[in-house]
Amino acid sequence: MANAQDIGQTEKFDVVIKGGLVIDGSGMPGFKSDVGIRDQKVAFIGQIEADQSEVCIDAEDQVVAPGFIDPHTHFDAQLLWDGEAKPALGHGITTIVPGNCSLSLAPLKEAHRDGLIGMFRQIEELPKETFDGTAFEWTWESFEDYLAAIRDQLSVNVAPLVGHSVIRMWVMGDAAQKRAANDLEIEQMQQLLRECLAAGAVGLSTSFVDIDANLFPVPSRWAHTEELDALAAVLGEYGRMLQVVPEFYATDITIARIDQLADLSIKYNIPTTFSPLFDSSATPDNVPRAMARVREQMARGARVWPQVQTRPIDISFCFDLPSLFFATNPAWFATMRLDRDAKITALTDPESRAGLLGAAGPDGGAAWLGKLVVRHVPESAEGSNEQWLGKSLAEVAAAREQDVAECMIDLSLEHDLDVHFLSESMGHNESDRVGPLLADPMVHVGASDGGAHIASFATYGDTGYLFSEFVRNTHALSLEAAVKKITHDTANIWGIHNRGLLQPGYAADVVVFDATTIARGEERAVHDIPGSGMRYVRDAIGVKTVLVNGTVAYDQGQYKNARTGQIA
Amino acid sequence: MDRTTIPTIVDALITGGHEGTPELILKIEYENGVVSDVTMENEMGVKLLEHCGVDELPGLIGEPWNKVLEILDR
Repeated sequence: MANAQDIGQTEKFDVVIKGGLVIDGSGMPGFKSDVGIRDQKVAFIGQIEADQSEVCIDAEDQVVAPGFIDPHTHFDAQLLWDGEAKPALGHGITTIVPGNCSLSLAPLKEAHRDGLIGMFRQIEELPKETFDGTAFEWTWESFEDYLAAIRDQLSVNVAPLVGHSVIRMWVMGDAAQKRAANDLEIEQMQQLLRECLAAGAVGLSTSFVDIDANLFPVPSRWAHTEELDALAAVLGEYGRMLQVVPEFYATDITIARIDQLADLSIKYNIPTTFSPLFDSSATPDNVPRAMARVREQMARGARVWPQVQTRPIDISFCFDLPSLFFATNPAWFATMRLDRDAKITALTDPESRAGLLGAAGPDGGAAWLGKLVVRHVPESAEGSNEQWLGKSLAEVAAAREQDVAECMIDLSLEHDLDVHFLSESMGHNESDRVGPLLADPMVHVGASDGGAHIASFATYGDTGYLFSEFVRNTHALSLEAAVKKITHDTANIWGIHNRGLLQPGYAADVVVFDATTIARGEERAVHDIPGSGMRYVRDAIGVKTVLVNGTVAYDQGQYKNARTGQIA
Repeated sequence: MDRTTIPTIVDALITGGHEGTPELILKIEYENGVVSDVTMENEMGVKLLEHCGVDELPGLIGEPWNKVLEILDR
């Protein structure tokens, strides 16, 4: 067997990454080194000559880290036409977990497609046409066949959850959204779950919150405790994850769910995770109370991992529907509650309009409304209005030579009240509270929801934000700790083997990034969803190169269609 | 029932919700002095303000809990 020096100086590699600061995911201090990759795996870390490989990536002044793992996504449909899961891959995400919140695209009988499509449309906000057969072919019913349908075009690794709701639909049909299961149906669900786990599912997801397109509770919400217990028993046979969406808007119920998960975790020796857990200045006791119960249950030996997202919560609204955003200003709120015609009259009539402008403040609404961001303006007779997108109302008002409130009203009137405004950082936004939470060893960084809510806000770039806000700006985590949180910790929590560390023998999922600039880009609208759908995305900043299983999949802004992703 | 013997709204705040819409956080004080949170999503929150006949959040303070229940029961 060759010693390390021989390997470093003589052997050939498929790829060499030269001169970077290796932060290996373990949490240990980074060190300058080269990384040699062979046969899709990390083969050697040490000094390597550039001519020992035909592919040499210059990582001078860059960090070289394991690829990031996103444990909470809804890319199930997107993977059928976009195996790169754009823009997640560009942010350094090399492994994703789809199938969260009780919803996966398999197992699914043909007869149940319409029902599931309604649920996916509700959560992911994909247009109906996306599912009509033009973007992809429905070639599967079983979980195994769904994985076969996505496998060949994957450029990211996929560690898929199977959804409790679809398992229920398969066994119970329409009754899945009408009643509890009987003993025979529970046994059938157990057997189906076994088949999914054997095919490659990394766990089961369930939800106590989600609704379908008709605002009806999804199937998993109709399950009695015994049903979830029986399914957890099957997870125990495989040592796999139970992911849960608890009633996160009610702290007491969330705590009860933590207890329920802890009991299942101990009873069946399984990891569990719940998401999301938000911090808010309006409910400052929420997180401390939930975390106190997590600590208590972890001390019992349970595995109950709260998932916490890095990004703050933004809210959006338009004039067409009444929004609580205006509930701090009586004149505006009263106007927004009027029916549509009366509202337009009130916004147009000189006297009532003057009243609104006066109520916006002596500065013309600059302080109250100036920071709102214009995020959707429909095309008008004059053509596209994209020049306003992403700009603050103060900027738009200045360009239009108006006061801010006047500009907001006129812009809305000009577009049939269909202009959408974004108020940034309305929750989970106090970094001095969120930072220590993210750094807590009992907190699992996740809950990005990548691929969901696509027409409402961007669910991409949370990893960049982790580094820009909580490593560079507020120093809540060291660079090494932040990398560990989204690589080795995630792989450990989920039982994703041979990923999440940059060490010989591990899969060569690697991200090369600039620690001084890595961040999330500005939110922008794109029209890349089949069926003329739009979504909001954020591009990566500071990510140079991403390798998936040893092949460059993203380099300096370019997606390479590497197709080297695997079912993890 | 005397108003002072039933749970009462003692504060009302707006926060950002998971779905990217505003949510109304009500602080409810119970007879024993305990204050607890109730979260209402945007549409329900707007309806509560209408139901209470107020156009701003401070107007909710002092309203009895059963006003909230009446909205939730609809």
